[in-house]
Amino acid sequence: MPDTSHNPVPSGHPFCRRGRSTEGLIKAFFGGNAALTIVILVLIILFLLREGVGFFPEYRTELQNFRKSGLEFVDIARKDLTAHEQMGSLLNRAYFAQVNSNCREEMQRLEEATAIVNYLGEATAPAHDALVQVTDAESNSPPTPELLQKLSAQYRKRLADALSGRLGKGFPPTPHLSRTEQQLLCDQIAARDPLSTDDPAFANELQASLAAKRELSAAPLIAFRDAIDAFQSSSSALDVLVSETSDTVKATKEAAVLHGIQVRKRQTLLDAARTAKPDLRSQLEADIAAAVTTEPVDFTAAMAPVLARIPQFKEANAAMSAGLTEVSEKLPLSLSDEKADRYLKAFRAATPAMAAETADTVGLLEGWRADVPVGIGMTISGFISGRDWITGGEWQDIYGILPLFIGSLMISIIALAIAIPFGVGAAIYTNQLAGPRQQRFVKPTIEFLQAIPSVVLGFVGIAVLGTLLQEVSTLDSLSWIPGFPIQQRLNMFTAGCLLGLMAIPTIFTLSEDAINNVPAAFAEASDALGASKLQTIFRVIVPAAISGILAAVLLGLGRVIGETMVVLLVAGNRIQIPDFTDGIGTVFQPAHTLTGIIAQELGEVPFGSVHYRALFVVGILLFVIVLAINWTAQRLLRRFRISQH
Amino acid sequence: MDVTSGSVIPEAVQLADIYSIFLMRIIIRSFFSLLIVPFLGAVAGAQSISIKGSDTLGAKLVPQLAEAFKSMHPDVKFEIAAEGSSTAFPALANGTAQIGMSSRKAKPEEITAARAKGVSLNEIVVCHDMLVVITNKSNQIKALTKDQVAKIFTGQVKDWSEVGGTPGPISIYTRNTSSGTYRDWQTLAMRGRNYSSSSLKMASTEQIAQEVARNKNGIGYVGFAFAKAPGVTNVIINGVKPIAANAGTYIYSRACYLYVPQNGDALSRSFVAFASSPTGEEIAKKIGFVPNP
Repeated sequence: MPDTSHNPVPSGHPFCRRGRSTEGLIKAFFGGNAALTIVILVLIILFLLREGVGFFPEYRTELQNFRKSGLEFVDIARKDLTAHEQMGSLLNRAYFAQVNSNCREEMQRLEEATAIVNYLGEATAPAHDALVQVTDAESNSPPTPELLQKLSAQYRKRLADALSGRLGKGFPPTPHLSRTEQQLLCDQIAARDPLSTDDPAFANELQASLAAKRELSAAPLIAFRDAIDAFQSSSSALDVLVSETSDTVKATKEAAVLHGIQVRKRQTLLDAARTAKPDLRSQLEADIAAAVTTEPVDFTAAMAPVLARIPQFKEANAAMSAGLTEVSEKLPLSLSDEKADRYLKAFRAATPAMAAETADTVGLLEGWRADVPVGIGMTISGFISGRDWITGGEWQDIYGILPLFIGSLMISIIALAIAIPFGVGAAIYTNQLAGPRQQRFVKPTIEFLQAIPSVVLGFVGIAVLGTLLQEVSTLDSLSWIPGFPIQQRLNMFTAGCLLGLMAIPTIFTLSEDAINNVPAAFAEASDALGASKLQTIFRVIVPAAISGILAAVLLGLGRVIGETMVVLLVAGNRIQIPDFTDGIGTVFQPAHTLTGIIAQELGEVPFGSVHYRALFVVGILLFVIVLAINWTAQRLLRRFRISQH
Repeated sequence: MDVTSGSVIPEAVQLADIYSIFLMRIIIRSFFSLLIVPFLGAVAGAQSISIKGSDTLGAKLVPQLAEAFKSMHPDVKFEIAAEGSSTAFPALANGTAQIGMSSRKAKPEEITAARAKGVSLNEIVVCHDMLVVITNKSNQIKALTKDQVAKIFTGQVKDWSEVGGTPGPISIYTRNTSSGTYRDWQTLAMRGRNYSSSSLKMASTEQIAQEVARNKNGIGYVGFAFAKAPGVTNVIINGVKPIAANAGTYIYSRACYLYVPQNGDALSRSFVAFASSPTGEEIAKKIGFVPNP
């Protein structure tokens, strides 16, 4: 029975019925929308969990196969080999740095000559390419003399323009080449046949003189060179062993994988046959009979020849240890070149660790057992703390999230370091210091930043910011900044700058709100006590709004961590924990991120594979991180609200 | 304050955006094919061939082959999607493509997966592609040995001075892991070892060429069709220049495949036959692929 006592419309009036039903409809519509949003959110979470939850058991099975087929065994030995190679590379770098330290001038002269040749080559490229195309021996019709003449004239004209520095970025600077040498080089290029790309004689001369100088400065280092060579060849026995055994175990693994696929296929066919119609069933049964063509792999038997080589591994290992001791004795005490000496010191510092690693290998190899099961705890901890994310390779896919997580974290820190001062500063200014006209201009302008699509920002990042930073970083006057000159124009700093730009509007708007919500009585009381405007702002207003500002920063962080397109385009996608020995300069290294890896790899992974599920687990992790950040922000805000009353 | 309480949902939805990059592709594709297929069918006598797979083949070669094929069969429509070799086989298996392009041999699990759905695949080698090592134009190194290339890409050699160049840390640019080229390079140049963890994974071959042209210590590999990019040097390997005439002796050369279902329609079979005919080979040669020996 509807209660009409409060209804101003008399009962029985057409408005009453119609009004109520329309109202109900609208109410249901809005309620339905809200409910649908929540349902979709729940469905997304369920979908993430459903796809991701199967990852750990499947990855565990994969790791089990990795162990059973002996790949893990070979990896133990290979780890030593890799470490040995790294050590050898250090020594080589020390050696070449020392050799090159005497040839700096020759190198600069050659570099400048190459720059001139490249500049002229690039300037004349269009005409040169056209000439090459028409004179191509395999093309059907020989070019007419007029065409040749026209193109040659074009080539000459461009060359003349380039020689006078009118094309492109202008003639490159050549402080180490004399005026006559530069002229000689230009003349030689001008005299060169338009079709030829051979280096001019003078460039070859410079090359020869550099080679001669190198030989000269290498002569006193001959003992050092021999020591390095002896060290490097001390691992050759292990190298051969590892590459031979890895072929064996890889074949074992592949056979096991193939058999697994066939067994699964038979299962699918069996399931299909159970419900199939009689005529189809006979066909399917024939298929089932032919489905499995390989024997199940006997891992123990397959591993036996590899395990039988343990004595050889022992020998190779001893040879490597001996090589390390020997080279340590023969190395020069110090090198005169600063860089070379640094490499040498790094080698010395790493020697004990290397010796220890080589020493325990034999024990590890002998103690290795194929039948020890891989625990689910180990799988999970390997995923969370693993330092490698290797996919799509031939050996074994490894999923370790640490480098991606650190990449995301570093980029977020850089972004916040940029966005906090700008966002909060702008908020304080707009709310407290700006006049109404400035307020009306600043607020919408900053909020407008949010309207720029991230893919556009990413493109700006590559084409403008990255290139600009890289060019600026090569200036000599800035070489004191750590990390300069920047190697890659795609790096964490460029990505962080752009993400900071994206986070500024969020932080600005919410901080401004928080400052705005500080009761006017606070400021008035402060004024009454004789505080200046700045004192009021920094001693009263900002502390009162601090939890709101923190919440704003956290929500900005949530936005930064979840951003995909910019980091995918700009961060450089190097899956490695950054080398923190560079100090502050670390920020100029490239990195890969949690969001970037999903976008890059999900598009083409086979549906339902372990790799596919691994990416979903990364997605779940991201979801949890962003959720935790938002939750903390909400908590902070609630505290802020209480402090007001 | 209401602004913030609403923001939990946008963040979560933003996360879903990542997936939608991938999901949207599927949705858009299926939506368009739903719309387009009946439309095409309505055009009198129009037949369509859908080709999916490798971006090495799908960027230039197959579209040009399709153009040439169309001049002989004007009523044929082509639909070409080049998103990586791995996309070819699922599409063939569930019938959304009649022809698959691949820059690598199909894996046994891919063949079985197709067979389980009743599709057995025929493999045709259409041409060979050379992978060219590129360095920055200002790099003094113009030639490397196979061993040096392997050492650079596996991270055993970290500085240009170690291979005789001007000192500077080497930056390695590779394709991302879902690319067929990524695996091919591992097999051809690195004896199956893993890439150096310091390698930068680029989304496309063009991006590799661009970044190497910008970084004076950069090195990367590209398909022969992209080797003429500005600002890069094509490195001579073991004394062999990477040019079409040396296709027989150059070591980083791989076959490019087309896959068609055994019970495929006559039209797609005739297209594949056309691709490996002398006319097709002529087109392949012009773009920078090497015809079958």
